[in-house]
Amino acid sequence: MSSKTSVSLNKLSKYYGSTRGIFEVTFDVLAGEVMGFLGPNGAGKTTAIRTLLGLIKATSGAATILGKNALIPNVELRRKIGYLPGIAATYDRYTALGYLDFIARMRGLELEAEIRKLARRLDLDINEHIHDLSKGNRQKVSVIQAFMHSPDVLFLDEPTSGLDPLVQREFEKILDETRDRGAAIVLSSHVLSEVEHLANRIAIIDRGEIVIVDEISTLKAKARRRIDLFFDSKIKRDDFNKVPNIKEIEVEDGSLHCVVTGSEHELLKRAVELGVNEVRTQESSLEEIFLGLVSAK
Amino acid sequence: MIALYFKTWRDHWKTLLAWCFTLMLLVSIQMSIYPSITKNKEALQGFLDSYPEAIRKIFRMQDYTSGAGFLSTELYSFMVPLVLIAVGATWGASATAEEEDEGTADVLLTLPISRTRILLSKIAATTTVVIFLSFLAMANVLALRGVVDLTIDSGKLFAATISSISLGFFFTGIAFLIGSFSQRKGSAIGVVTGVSLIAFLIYSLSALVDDFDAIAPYNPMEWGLKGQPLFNGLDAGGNFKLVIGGLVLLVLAIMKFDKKDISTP
Repeated sequence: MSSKTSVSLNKLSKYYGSTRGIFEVTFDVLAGEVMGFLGPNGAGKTTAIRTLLGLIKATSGAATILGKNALIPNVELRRKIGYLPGIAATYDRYTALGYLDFIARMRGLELEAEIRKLARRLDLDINEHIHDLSKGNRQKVSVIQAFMHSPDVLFLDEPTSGLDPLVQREFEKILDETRDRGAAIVLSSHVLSEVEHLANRIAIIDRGEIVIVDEISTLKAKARRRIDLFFDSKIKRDDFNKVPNIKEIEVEDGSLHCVVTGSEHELLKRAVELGVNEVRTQESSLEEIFLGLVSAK
Repeated sequence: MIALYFKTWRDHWKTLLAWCFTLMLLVSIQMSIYPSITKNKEALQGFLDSYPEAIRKIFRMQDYTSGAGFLSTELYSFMVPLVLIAVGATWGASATAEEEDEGTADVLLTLPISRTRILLSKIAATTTVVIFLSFLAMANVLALRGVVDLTIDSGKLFAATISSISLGFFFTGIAFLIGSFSQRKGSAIGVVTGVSLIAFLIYSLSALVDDFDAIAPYNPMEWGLKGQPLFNGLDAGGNFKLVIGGLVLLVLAIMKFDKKDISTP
């Protein structure tokens, strides 16, 4: 990852009346970085991306992509951008190849070889008509559309929606390769698990406002996780009095259930001393992490 | 731009084929009854003369039994312009509203081509189809005139064709303007159809209702049809107003579309 900023949002706002929109959204994305852009449905992820791409006009604030003002139309800049919309609509009357070739020609490029290569990797029959394709296969068409011209900046809005696990893995490889060649990628999702192993950093948005922008590792440390520990013998609440980072403790005979925020090290050390034989960690939902981050602010 | 131009044709090719067929059928059927009109010329003229003055004015039935009068009444005062307006309205209203309605605008408008050029490509495609259908109708009339023994001056038929094109172009302008405001294809087409029918109704009734005299000079149907090109040749003034009016509407459509917030389905 380079230190060069590829995408920069500075107090970017878009108002739709008084309650909807985005408010002073600020974050940067570096070249060679994947920025996970997380938030519940309706939080403002899509609005932020669409404002940045000029599909809707910003009310105030500033934004640059590759050093150029992103808020005024710039055809040359668009050559370097790839975009996969949240609602990945395509021209249904076309074959997948016909549609992708049309998009390539609109870009002034001949990309059939690249289209075929990506289609092979994603296991897509590009000769099929789009209206005959399943939701997952339509999403593959949109993925190819976004990546085929090797853009320097990519905006991916819920890109794995409808993709099966095997294809998701191939998609992640393509994403890694794109990042490794120096592209900046904004990866929007409402599912934390989808982006946590792909993103370098995460920006969380809620009700139109950025809640936090941080490294994944830092966020994980702050995240709330529910942990269940099972012991061979009875344990007491007092056995864990001095353990840091835990709360909402419940003890039932030989088991302890609690919420951990930050490092689990001391909890697990104490559990081993008391003869733990099973540890279950529940994956934090975005909402739990989000709540943890808000309470940590 | 070429890719988008051909895409617009491709998107509508089935409906275009249907319009071509409808137009040719319409022209052929209407012309096929002309021999029976001339055969009973005197009786028919007497019958038409017995029509109330109001009806004869509404349907512009002057000299109905001549080639020019017959074509003017049956085809060029209503049917042909209406087909062209319908095509211009459908293509124009759906040009941008359909892309938004179906969610395809998001990718299209982030490609390295300006919104103005996107709209210009679609305007060019729509205008070409209006011209194509107008000349198709003209060719159809020319091909059948010998068969049904209809006398028509080619120059005046050409003038009527130009008037039809100008009308189609003007309503294409209205369609693009309404389409650039609207986000839904259906409502855009509905509004354009409503506007064109009201304009036609006012034009038809203006011969009878004096109250319409004040607005008649501003009615595009009046600009396109009142000159009666099949009798009088090219109405330069009327066509000029339609073309300039159409251009103004298209410029407004481009300006609006350029600043528009694109909606999602």
